[in-house]
Amino acid sequence: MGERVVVTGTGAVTALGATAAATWRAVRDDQAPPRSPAGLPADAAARAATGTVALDASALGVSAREAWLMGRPALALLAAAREAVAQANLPAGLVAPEDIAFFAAMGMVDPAVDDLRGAVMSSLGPDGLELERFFHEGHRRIHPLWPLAMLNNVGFCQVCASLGVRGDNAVFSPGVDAGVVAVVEATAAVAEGRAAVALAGGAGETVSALSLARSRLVGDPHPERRGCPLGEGGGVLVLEREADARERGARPLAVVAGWGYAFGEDDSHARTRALRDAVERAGVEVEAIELAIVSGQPREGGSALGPEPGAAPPLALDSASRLGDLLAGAAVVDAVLATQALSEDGRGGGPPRVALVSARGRSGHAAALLLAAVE
Amino acid sequence: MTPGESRRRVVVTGYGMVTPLGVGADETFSRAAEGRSGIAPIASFDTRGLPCRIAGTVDETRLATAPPAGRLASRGLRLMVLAADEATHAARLADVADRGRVAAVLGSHGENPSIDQVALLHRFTDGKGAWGAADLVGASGYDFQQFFRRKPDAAATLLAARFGCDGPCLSLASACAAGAQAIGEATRLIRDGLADVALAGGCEATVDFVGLLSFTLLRALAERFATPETASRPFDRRRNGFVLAEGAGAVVLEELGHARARGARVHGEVLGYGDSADAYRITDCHPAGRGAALAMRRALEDAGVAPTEVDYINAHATSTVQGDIAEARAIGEVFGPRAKEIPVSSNKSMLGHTIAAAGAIEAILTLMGMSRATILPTINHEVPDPRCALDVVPNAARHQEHRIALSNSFGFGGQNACLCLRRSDG
Amino acid sequence: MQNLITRQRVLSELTKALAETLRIDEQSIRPDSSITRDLGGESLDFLDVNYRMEQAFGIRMARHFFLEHIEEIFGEGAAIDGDGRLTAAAITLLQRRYGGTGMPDASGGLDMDEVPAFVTVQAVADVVTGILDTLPEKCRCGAAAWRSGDGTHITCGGCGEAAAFTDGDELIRQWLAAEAGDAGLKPV
Repeated sequence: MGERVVVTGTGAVTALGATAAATWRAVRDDQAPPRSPAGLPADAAARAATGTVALDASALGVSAREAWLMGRPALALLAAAREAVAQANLPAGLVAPEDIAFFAAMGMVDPAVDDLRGAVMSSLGPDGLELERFFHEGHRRIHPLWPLAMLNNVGFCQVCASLGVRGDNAVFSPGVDAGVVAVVEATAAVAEGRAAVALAGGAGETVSALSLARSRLVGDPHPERRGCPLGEGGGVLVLEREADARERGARPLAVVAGWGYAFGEDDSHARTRALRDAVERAGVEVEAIELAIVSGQPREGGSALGPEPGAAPPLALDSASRLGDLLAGAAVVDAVLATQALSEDGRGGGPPRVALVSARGRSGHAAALLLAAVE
Repeated sequence: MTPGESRRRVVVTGYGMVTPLGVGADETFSRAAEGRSGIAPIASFDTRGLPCRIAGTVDETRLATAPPAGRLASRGLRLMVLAADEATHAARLADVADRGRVAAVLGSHGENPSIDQVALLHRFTDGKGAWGAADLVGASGYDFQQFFRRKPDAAATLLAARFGCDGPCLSLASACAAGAQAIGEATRLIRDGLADVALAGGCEATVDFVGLLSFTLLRALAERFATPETASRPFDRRRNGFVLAEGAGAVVLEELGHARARGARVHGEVLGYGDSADAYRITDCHPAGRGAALAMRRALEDAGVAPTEVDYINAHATSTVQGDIAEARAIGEVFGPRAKEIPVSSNKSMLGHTIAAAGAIEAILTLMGMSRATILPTINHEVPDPRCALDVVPNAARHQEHRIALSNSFGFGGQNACLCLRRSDG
Repeated sequence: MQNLITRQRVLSELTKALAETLRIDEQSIRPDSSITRDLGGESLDFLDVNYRMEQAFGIRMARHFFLEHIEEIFGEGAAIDGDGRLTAAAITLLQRRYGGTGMPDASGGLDMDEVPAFVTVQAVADVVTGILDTLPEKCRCGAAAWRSGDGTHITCGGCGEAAAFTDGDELIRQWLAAEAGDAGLKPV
């Protein structure tokens, strides 16, 4: 994969901002040092209230019914995509729809309880829910399009239709690393000439009573969310070959320099391997990393760069403690933040030159993405 | 770089499956070659009141003797473990030393919420239409194990852990195209040097009330048929919807040099993968099969294969009125006048629609067919539909040498995937 | 027949449902508007609107198309010929049942893909009215005192139970049994 691939557009919708720039400023300017997961308040519900995102469907050109079918995560993805495409200066029609690829990481969808309530209520008897009544009659009260609202990939397809994207595509579901996978697949699609432009996106889950209930499970052995409340939102990067970007006058914001993924029962080894593969591919030393944004909760502590002490980069950001845990959306939103940092005009010591987006989870998945400043 | 020129080649060194026709690839293939159907009335839950009460399910008695997959495993994962056991055993995957170079790529989307989950609402309603969200949160009313089985990527994680795949671990959630996309993405991982071996495939086990209800609400299922076995009838005039099924298909993909070095047996090759999005409508596929045609052309380009070299097409064809026509039109567009001469058959006529597993199961059956010079039939073909003017290999398997094939999987919503496969030379 | 829910009420509920489903102004919906060609509806919208009619009036709309029913009862080829075109019998029956919706005459010839465009707002309203007109004379409890409190749901004045109408598919089957002989069709 010899061609250099660059980011030419970023978009994000999060609890802290409706755009990538606003989110970055809010994260960057928070003067308090990054809080470790252990230091977070225990009351997930209260904090989660700050993790919801304002989404205006009609401003996105989406009808009420379409918005209901898509779900909030897909809406967030669409909003972020529109922003990223605008920043990349890609008006409709410039690139043929078949030449635009789209890879996204999306999470679970809960049963839309409100849509089922009528069916359940009409099937209640004196002793509670009568299954036979539900099977025979109650289900007829469920809106026929409810099943579509339960499928994330349908939301993704709606986003494709709205954006006019018909090329290479896939929906990855989370591991925390799914966002990195989306970025890498998008990078590969343009590097290998399968697409002229590729979008890489990720969206978190809807904050609802049910998803909050899930996040408060006691004794969860896979607490990718423990100690960190859920956050809604999504992020999108526009990627293209550097040569193509320069030729059409688009400004490259960052270079996709390296990546690695690993899986293992031993979480720290997986992290180390992922990082090692990423730096090797990027052709840099670990010490060159000046900014690290980490999502997901590791089993044990350790710095952003691994268990070795003293390996901390100058700036390490724990985005989850500010944005909420975005799950599938985390890595891409973090990549958006990293791009913002890398392309920012001088601020004090200048922007970092190499940034790491690290996704690691207790279930054993680990992924690392390295972005570099454009010289 | 043109396809084939110093690009890493990806071959299949093992495969396995669990389907409504059998536990194990050979059993499924043999029965399919006899034109048997795996569709039957649903016995696992009371279906009275539903307009479609049939499905393709895996023989329960065979599952009872399968090794346990852990309490956190969904039924889909249990099926996948069986299929993966067969595939990894055949490939002798345990012999591969560097596990960091073994990837796991799975197409699945977790278990449906159960009726208990639906009944959960009742526990937190006041009987007057209001829903007590605060109580739900406070009582942690969500059963943890259910949550874990519903988590879409849980299956991939458990699969990777069980089979010692310490490389990239990907989970695809693209519905009907997921199984094919998993094989396609795994192929790319190996070509791009991120892995040397990959366990890939798809699984589906949603023949439950919510699964059946969902497709019933969308009016996607066959509701008029003489017998369960004749309900799934792709390309036939009397088709009126698909039949839901469960199953799992797994392949071990490997870089050719790596396979040869360790003396692994090669069962076939993945020459190319192409995919696209319809970006049209959610429940209607593009009438001319625009996205489907693009996916097929891309697979051919990726493989460096001309349309004239394709000997067989394993169709997606689910037995829906519109879907089968769109695919026939897409094939016509890609292959021109030759479209009527290439054998095109649909395994779904016998297995039903295994959704996320379909792409994997059908790709394996395609490879097996090539090595046995047997083209599987489209059964239940009684009255041809002039709008699907293809050689659908009606009702009886055909003995014919064939070397290069396409396997199509076109997902709900318009995600399309196509694999270009070649017979093993030895 | 029933006179509790007027045709006008049915049309107005349907118009409201279409406006919500298709996200258009009620003003732009006329009785002779073709749901697909004029209002931009697709198959998902028919599912949605049928559901809304069912909930609004407490009825069951047909799950299968009229032409499918013809083929089911009278055999393949009875409604759609080998080339995917409607038979003369099918066109005659469509006109008779859904009459006045601008169907071409029998000699015109029509491709089955063109049929959805002929479904107008009035045609759907007539289907709903047709189902409502199957209101039995008496309730199961024996009372003959139907009433409608909200103007769209009919309930028994005696026991309060909701009225049970013939379901949409059964209604089509009954109609075909009575009428198809005139169009030259015999059940298989």
